[in-house]
Amino acid sequence: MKGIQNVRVSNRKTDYRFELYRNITVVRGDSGTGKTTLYDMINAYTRNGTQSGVQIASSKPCVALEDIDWKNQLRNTSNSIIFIDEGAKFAASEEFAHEIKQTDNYYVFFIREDLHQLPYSVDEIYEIKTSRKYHTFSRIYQKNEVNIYSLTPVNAVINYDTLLTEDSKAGYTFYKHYLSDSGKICVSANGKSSIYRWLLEHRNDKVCVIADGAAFGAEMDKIMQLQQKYPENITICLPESFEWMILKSGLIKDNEVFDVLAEPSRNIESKEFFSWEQFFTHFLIHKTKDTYMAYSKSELNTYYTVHENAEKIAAVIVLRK
Amino acid sequence: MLNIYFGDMPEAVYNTAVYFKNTYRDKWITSELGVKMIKDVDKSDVVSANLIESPVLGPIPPTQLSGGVKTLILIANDRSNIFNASTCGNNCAKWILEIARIEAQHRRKVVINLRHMMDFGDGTFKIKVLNNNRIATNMIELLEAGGEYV
Repeated sequence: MKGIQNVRVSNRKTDYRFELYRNITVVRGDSGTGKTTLYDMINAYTRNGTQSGVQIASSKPCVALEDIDWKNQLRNTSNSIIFIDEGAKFAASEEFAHEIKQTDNYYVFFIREDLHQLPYSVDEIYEIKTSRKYHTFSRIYQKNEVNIYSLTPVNAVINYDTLLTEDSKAGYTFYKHYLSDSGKICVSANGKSSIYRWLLEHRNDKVCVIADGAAFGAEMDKIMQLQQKYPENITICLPESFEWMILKSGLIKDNEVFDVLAEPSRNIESKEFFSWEQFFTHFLIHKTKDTYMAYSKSELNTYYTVHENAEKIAAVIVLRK
Repeated sequence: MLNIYFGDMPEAVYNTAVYFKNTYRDKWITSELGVKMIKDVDKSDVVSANLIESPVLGPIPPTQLSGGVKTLILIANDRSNIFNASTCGNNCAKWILEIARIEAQHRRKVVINLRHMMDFGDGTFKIKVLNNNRIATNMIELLEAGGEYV
């Protein structure tokens, strides 16, 4: 499945309207905001259809995944929007992640537990906002125009002494080269799950974290709590991915690149790509194949570290030396 | 003092809504603490043990309370089990601390399981992280002691 999905779920007393942009959406937030009510309405519709009294307006079928027999239910469901409630212990399992990979469904989780097996975006973590009987999804994490995230409005300028990257390959090579002779340090955390410990151990340093926002959702909650405690020291910058930055930089002059970046939801098929991060890597490799710009994730082409080109890539997140 | 085990805890009751539905007692709903928690978290008024007035849903039974309130009620009343408190939002955190405070007066300890880092606010508290037996007295210390387990 691809595309933005507009969904409306209503009964006589409540009316939910929301949009889904990617294959995985997580809804959390305070208790008592209506998550379970929404799930129960979809569950009633799944069991009884229109005779439930629930009305669903969506171009794709909306289905509630039950605890029991979830595997069979999943295997018999395609091209649908699947809703999963917080009682579903299987949702955090490796087995579940394996089952939903390469499916053409969209998934909506009403779960606070950090789902480390799933590559979900920081942009697709929501809470429910209510105005009388009307409910809608609202993004929990705010970002500015250069992908710096905060729970409160944030500045555009990245102020740091140390740049901490999730990446240990092409992205890290780029930033390390870019910052050479700048007096700033570039360090790789060797994976997103190590960033939290690194920040705790260096809490008094001025650090800018750069990670792939497209798959950083499971780390986001605790890292943003840490950022809130040390707002002067920790900056969280989460572009979709390093490959997205290259595509966005304008180095590759191609109309298809422009079109895809303008509307990724319309162009990224969930069955082929578990996360947008994977898509942008595939897309960049495809677009530069057999050219002097040929991109490889394991070893960065020196084209991207040439001063003028590196400046264009860094400008996507307004990174200054 | 509140005790928290972070991460996967097989013996903890994970699906608290199902457990609540099959085990809750009327007096848990109408107790002073139950009434206060339901009012604060769900903005709803307890009319009787079987009837709660919700501003959004109208009259509802206790089984239609939010997952967070159900878990709070279980933590406060069922001392034989440990519950998955990741079914509770941050607006439940002060009540979890309050339940631990009340239980401590009766020399009972409260243990919960968290699979995410709940925000217990800017104040001070006393929380023991059972994974490593470290004691945290504020959120920074709790992030340090427990954050790696979720």
